[in-house]
Amino acid sequence: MAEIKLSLETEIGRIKLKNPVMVASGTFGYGEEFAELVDLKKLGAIVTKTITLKPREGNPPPRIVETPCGMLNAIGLENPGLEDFIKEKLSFLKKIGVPIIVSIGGDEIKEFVELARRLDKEKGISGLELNISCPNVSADRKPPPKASLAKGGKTENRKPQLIAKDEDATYELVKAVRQATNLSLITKLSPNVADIVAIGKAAVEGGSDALSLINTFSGMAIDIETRKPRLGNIIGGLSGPAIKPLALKAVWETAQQIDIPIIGMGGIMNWQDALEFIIAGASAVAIGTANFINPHSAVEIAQGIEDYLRKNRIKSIQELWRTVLRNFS
Amino acid sequence: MPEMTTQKMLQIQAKIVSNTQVAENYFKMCLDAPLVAQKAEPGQFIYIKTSNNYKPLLRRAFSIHSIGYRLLVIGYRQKRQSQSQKPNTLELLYKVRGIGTEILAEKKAGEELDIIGPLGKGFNIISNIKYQKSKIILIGGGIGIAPLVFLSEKLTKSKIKNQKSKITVLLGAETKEKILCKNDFEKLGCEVKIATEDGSQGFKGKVTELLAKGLLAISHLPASPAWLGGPFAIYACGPTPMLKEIAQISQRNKIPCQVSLEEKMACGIGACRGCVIKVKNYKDEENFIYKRVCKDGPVFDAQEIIW
Repeated sequence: MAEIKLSLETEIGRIKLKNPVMVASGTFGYGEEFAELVDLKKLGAIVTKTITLKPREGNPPPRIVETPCGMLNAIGLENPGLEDFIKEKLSFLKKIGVPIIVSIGGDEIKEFVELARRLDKEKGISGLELNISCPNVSADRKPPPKASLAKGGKTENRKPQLIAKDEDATYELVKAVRQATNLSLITKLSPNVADIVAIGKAAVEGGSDALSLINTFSGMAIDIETRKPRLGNIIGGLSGPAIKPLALKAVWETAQQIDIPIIGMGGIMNWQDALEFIIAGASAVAIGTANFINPHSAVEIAQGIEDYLRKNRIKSIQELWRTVLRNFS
Repeated sequence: MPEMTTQKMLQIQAKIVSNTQVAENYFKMCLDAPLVAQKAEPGQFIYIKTSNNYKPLLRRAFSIHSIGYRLLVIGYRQKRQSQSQKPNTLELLYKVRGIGTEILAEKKAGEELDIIGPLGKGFNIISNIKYQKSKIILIGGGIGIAPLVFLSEKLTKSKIKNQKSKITVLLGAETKEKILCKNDFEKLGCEVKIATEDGSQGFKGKVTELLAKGLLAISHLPASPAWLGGPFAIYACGPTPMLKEIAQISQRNKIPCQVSLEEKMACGIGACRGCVIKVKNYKDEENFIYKRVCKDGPVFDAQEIIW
């Protein structure tokens, strides 16, 4: 049997990836933490931990709770801030030789714009991921007063909702960032919304080159002995194999209605999981929680995909991409 | 830019040499892991994947209890590794207290475990001249004694070996059945003092009370508060309330004190920032900073921590 020539290449906006397996924001630090264990050159791309304009200390501990087939985290975007990122983290990242996608976050549109403008001037960055969906930063930490609960009244002084929960805000933000940079833009969506496709469409209209689906699901856990929440932030984001079917459905649903590339993520633990996302309509996948359990996950998953393609005589990712949709029509 | 050439941590498949119960709920496991054993320092830990089916999902952290030199089978000959040769095994002492350790307790010799290590920053072994004559106190509460055996091995082999009689180990447990490793410490020449909460052995009460009341029968020291003024060092590991008390006692008596902490971790290698604790910000006294137990610790200066 003749060896077929196969390609694992894929494209996200103008970013060309040698293989479709990236590492997800917040789960791989700034690459250097994993450098001793993992051959970073074998990654499809690296998405950094989210950076903000100013340093952030993050949420009070505990920040991690293990749950059945998953984990909750409430890190709260702890990061050294834009300037220290450029000074201390970027030089390492850009020498690796794989596309570097910098995840940026903030409370307001102008913060995203300033981050984009500044990072646009730096060499070695392939794209920006707009983290408009971190569930751990803009949530209201204070429980509603008992009186208002009893009356069924609404709580006062809530912090602003996630940008990713609002179509207009998403559109405005992406559009503003689009005007500030020529870097490929990837908008990371939240699953904690009524209609994720509508938010995705707003990001496309704003000028996003690609979408990341999905961020974590908002969740919580309580210690029944102390009756205290198990997370310092009360609520956190659920990740891991527990959310994979939900993430897959979000990718599949979005891929049917939106034509820009989708990076599928949410509980991918092995190459079989990754292939499900590609078949559902993801042009690439990102590995998150699995990095914590096996630092080599992304590299092994890329290899597993290659072996699958070879075994099934499929020449490219594109040949597999969205095939579940075709079968349905 | 970090060094990429010197690999400090490894991910390997380590074969289980033995896994035996040593007391109710307590087990000792020996792993064949030469490369990790050679790099390991007291206070560091290894991160073990206990399960392949997401139950539990995350790895479990175990402090290194000891490193060893075991028989190697080379061809048909068995060769005894001499003490001058490099260590090739890691020993863990663990308490079964959840799903991860339950699975571990079931493991048999010959099975392999996926481990990452050695991880974290271990005990800072004070070796300067001032401390060569110092009294060293190791305090272990419950399973917290696990890393202290490795530490005392290192201390007795370091520059201060002539003073090894000056290492005193305070062991605290609920009952005498739960006192572990007494012999290990004594074999190394350490003086061992026991505190049990039920009084079934040694001092009746908490190990922190034993320390605070100066009930140490340290021969050359007068039992007055003045004895605490001399060069002294405390190394402690155990439950957080115990460590907090020890930190207060050591602060009152101006004794340098290092403590080994525990916190829920995800990545174990410093990337996710999940296992942070509050420490003092020496640049800005009004504020604090977060440090990672997995990477900046697990051993911290007791006075640095905001308890």
